[in-house]
Amino acid sequence: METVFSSPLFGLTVFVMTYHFGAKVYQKWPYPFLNPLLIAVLFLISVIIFTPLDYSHLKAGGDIINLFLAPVTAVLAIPMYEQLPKLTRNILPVLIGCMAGSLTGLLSVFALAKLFNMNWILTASLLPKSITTPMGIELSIYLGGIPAITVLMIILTGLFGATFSASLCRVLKIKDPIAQGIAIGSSSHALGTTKAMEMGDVQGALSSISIAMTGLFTVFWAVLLTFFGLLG
Amino acid sequence: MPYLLELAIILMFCLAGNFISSWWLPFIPGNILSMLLLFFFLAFRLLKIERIQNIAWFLLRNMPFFFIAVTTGIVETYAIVSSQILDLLLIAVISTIITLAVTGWTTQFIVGLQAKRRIKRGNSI
Repeated sequence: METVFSSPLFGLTVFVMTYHFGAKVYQKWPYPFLNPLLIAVLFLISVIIFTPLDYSHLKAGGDIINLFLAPVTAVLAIPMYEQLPKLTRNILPVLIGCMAGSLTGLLSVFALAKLFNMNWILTASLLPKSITTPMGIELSIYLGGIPAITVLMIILTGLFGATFSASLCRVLKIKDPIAQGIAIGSSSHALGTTKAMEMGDVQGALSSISIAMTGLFTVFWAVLLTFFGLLG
Repeated sequence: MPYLLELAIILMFCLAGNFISSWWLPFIPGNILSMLLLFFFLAFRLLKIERIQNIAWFLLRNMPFFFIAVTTGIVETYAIVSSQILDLLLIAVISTIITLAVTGWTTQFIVGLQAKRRIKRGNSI
């Protein structure tokens, strides 16, 4: 019996079923905070806490899923490729906006973490919070963080963006639709982009272009700053 | 049959990216290199998007699923996070607001500059 529960097949089945359940819940009540991944993970955490099922039972199945993080990251090239015409039309605002956004994202987390006396593991886990998850996991590992914390922070940042970015744009007097789109995409990735799409076509398009661009620039800055010993 | 070929092509890009990273460019994460490699092959028409699109869109559409195991791993690190969970959230929120503000203002400035130049050019003609 014990061998069945610790076989990769068991973990894989549990993960697939749980995510399907999360997706169904979101389908029924499509509110951003009922995010499928968040529901699935919260469900699994409570199962692990309240039942004899342990994380070690799921680990072997989880490793199989984690293997797919490589192709999932690679295929991010496809939306980027398909947005190429829109990108070339707005090349200057997108490049400069995302460069500024990614650097601000990193430095603000770094400075605030110093202020809060946060240790490096947590700081490194938090640094990629504004970028798309597969790139964030990669950067978190690169900087010496814990990917699990990174993913949760990325989701929460995205939820914050999806809920408040329209009002923030209003309060901060960001009125230009191009600027709104780039600001939302580079501060709260794909989840924030759902809000940008509600705000308008221009905002939605620019926001989704900014996701991959901000991810790449964030990795670029992080590599550069680490190389010169400024990060860490 | 074509599905497996599509998967094989994507996996070869992953392998190539990680190979280049571990041999020549250790300071760039392997999967990011795979992505850039795939992007350049698509952009310079060395690879047609049709050769990989079914598997690629399957992965893209179901992307959050592939994070489920990593994220559930939080139960193993709870001890490290629990004491500073509020700090983490607070920093994330403040930093997101700052990032949105700086990006928005910078971009708005650039867009304004471009519009001004366009008007100037229009007047001089």
